[in-house]
Amino acid sequence: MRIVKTKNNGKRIVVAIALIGGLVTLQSCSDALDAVRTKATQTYVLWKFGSELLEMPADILTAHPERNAKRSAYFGDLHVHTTYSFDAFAFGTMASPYDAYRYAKGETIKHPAGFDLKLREPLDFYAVTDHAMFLGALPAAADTSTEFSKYDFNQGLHNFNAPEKLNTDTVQERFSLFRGFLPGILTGIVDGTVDIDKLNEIVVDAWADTINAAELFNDPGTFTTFVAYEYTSSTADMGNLHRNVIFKGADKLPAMPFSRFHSQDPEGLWNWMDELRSEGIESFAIPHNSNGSNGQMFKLEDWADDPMDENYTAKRIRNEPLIEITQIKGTSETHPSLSDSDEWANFEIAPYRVATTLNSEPKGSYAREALLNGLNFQDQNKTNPYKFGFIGSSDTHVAATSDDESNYFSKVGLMDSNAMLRGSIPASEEELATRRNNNNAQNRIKEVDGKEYISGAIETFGASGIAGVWAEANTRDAIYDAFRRKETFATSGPRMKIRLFAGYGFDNEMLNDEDVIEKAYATGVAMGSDILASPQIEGKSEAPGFLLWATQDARSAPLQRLQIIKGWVVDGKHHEQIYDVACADGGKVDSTTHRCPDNGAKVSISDCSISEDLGAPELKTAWTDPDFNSEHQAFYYARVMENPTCRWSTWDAVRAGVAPRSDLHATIQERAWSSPIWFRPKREGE
Amino acid sequence: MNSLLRRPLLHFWLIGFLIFVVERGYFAPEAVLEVAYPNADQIAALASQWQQARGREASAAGLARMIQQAIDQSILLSEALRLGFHYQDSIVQQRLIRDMRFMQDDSAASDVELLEQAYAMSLHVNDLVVRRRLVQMMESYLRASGENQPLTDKVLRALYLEQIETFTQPERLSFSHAFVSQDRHRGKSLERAQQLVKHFEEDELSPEVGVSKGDPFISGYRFSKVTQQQIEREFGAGFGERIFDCQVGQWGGPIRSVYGWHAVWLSERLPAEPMSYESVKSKLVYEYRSQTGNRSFENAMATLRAQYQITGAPK
Repeated sequence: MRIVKTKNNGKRIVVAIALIGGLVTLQSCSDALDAVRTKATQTYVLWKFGSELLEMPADILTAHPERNAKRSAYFGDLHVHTTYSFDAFAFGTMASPYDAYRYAKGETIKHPAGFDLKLREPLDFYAVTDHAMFLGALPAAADTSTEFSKYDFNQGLHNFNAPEKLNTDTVQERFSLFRGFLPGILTGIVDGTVDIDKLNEIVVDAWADTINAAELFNDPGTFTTFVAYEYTSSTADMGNLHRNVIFKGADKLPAMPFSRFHSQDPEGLWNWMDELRSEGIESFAIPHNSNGSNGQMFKLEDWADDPMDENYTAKRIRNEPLIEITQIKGTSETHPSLSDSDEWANFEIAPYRVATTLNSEPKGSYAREALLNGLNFQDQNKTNPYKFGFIGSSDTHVAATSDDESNYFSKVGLMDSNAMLRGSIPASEEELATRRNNNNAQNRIKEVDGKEYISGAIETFGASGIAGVWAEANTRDAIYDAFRRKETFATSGPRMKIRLFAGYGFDNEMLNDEDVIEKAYATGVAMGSDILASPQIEGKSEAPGFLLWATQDARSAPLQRLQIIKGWVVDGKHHEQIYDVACADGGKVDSTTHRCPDNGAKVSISDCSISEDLGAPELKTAWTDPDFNSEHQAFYYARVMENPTCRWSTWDAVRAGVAPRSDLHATIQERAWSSPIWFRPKREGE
Repeated sequence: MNSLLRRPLLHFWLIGFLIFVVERGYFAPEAVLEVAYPNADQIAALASQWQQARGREASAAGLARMIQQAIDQSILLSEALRLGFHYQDSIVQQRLIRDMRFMQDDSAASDVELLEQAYAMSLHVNDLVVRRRLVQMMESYLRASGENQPLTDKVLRALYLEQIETFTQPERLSFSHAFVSQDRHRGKSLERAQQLVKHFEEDELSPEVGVSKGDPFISGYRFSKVTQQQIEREFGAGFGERIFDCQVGQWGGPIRSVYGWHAVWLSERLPAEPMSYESVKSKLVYEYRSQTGNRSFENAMATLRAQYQITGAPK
């Protein structure tokens, strides 16, 4: 690991790497050309001395045969906070980045409340993404043995370090708390009593330790780590604009992460990433919790509310090819008010702006609507800023993914460490007594069916999510390349696999072919790509075929239905349609309603047992859009649904021997989403 | 006066008095430290929490353990308060300020004033989150002396040799499989799989040919150097155990997975082997720190338990 300290050094290294890379490439090319030349010479000799014309062999030689060309599914979490995050520290989290990686590999670590945490199955990749702002500063300020803690201005920082007030979006509150801290530190820097470099050293040290942990645990072929962090910006009205920045490698990295204190406008982040890229440091950013952005994450203007120009849209999609569609603080696929024809839209909706109980405006906050808006850009021959793929991740603040409904421990450490604090079972008299006699606390108690529960945003959290990729190998390069080509999928927790291809000539016969995946790659495109219109015959283009394939998590419930979600625009107007395309238990899709029959799968709320012998271990089909119009810009993504199972809040209630809270969903249908494929109509000049 | 000073009896009394003063003043036991045994309501709450978490009633031994843990936590809280952690920790302070603001919504008092009031009202002893935080801080404090002991490569290597049996790369297999899809063949999938195995054995089909006779499988047809845990992660519980019973260089099965049935061909069986020192070094460091931390905590806890009297314990 080397940390870049100066630009010039960085450039020298880039040049060196480029030269070495160039030599390696030339050497490889030279080997391949020699092989081709030899083959060609042999053919020529035969032709010259033979009496008849020989056919040129169609073999193509490649210098680097692709390894595992069918690609395998790998599962991970790209959103994990540890004790270096100021809020995680405040929630009582002592687990380090090292503990986080140990957990991902299947070892046991401690929850802040003292109980053991262990994954059902190890993960394949993991990225610690602590908040860049104040990275490591709270542990340093709270630790009275550090030099940093001795500064007077740390009195202000101490007061800042509160479990409930210290969240990433309390902008105004934070600045008021900093009123004493900021003038103190600035005066100190001016008069020389405070050394800014020493202050930055804390962030740099924590960042270096984060990198060190990622390097220590990265094990190519077995377990992949990424150096990463969270850029934590928001609008003045607490609209969430958070992003996780993922670096491809660790050989050369910035000396410290770019935070909201460098720019509150995400465009500043992209400029920094572009600059790093020009120095050979590759990264991308993943927006998350658009659901809590109050319509700001996917709006159609830039930070200054000016219309997006080409420079902005290109910069955005260059730096943000993926979004986190699901996590503990809710799922951001779509909202019932935006997708009234989608019966499954009301899934783990967390309706608040992040870290508040203020309602978040759905318009501009959800992925499907953004994808539709993106098509409008394409329709106008502009760069589509919202041409993104999907991943899921957890956003845990205890270093440990919490994606299992039956063993859920949520994300904010001590604050939601048991069923009562999560609001899933009635609150005890002791807990109620501490909250009852004050105005603010009453907001945190809700009466449901004559019982009092702790309430707020926490009961709207979900046990979600997981990032899936289709990659050649479990290595940084292979998985990062999958991120870049958007061959990614998201799940709400279970390790379901889902594949989506598009191409011409795809049919159901292909599905029984041993080489179906090779053929799909060879003749079509995978999720995350464009499918271009076919040549026109009699003024019409052929409808592309889609190949969908999903399998259940071997340790979770069977599948119920496989769907295509289509979005398209006509004259700037948005349209969307949900098509069931494969049904479990022999069901056939109704061609009018595009729905599978109900397979009758049920859940027993008394013990969370589920129907046996219903549902499918895998669902697959070749599908053609019955409403295809080759003139319309469109996207298609796949969604697969499990049979219903108990939600975490119901599991909590069952264990406690009480009835589930009636204002929460008792059951959910876990699901996975593929990244979209975009259909591009042929335009004049193309 | 001089003769009085020379009297042995006076010397005797003076020396005796000095011994008395020194003994009482400097060597007398400190004030008695005590914590209360959990009352019936608290014990019922412990049992209830356990049941909520596990879904079944705690055994008598389990309940006794929880009571001891509760007593230990009371001791840790008492020690944290004696050391003044509640005056030092910013998280505790902010929680107390927040509690005070809840109670005095319109108060114009400063944070410092509210904090003083909170301490005066003993809010730091009554607030659940503060109590948890102080206990946690005390635990970390007691562990720290053990965790921070210097660590050398020699110590780690000794630990590695001591535990070499636990650092074992488990047995691994490489195999190919022909898949019979439950979804495609439904009630006839087992029969179809049995026919395939029979056909492969009788015709001595190679794994490459055999695999092509099956249905498409989403994760592919060949798996290299995989452990039982990895196999079960892919195929479901029970599959890993069954496949390890098969013979190398032969067709075996059919074995049931969650997806259907599989005829399997084992190409390689790698025995369990010790893992290298380098590959487990980071784990050793963690284990060492964890062990020394635990030891330090247990020793300190034993000393503390001896210093405290438990009031209200059942006879």
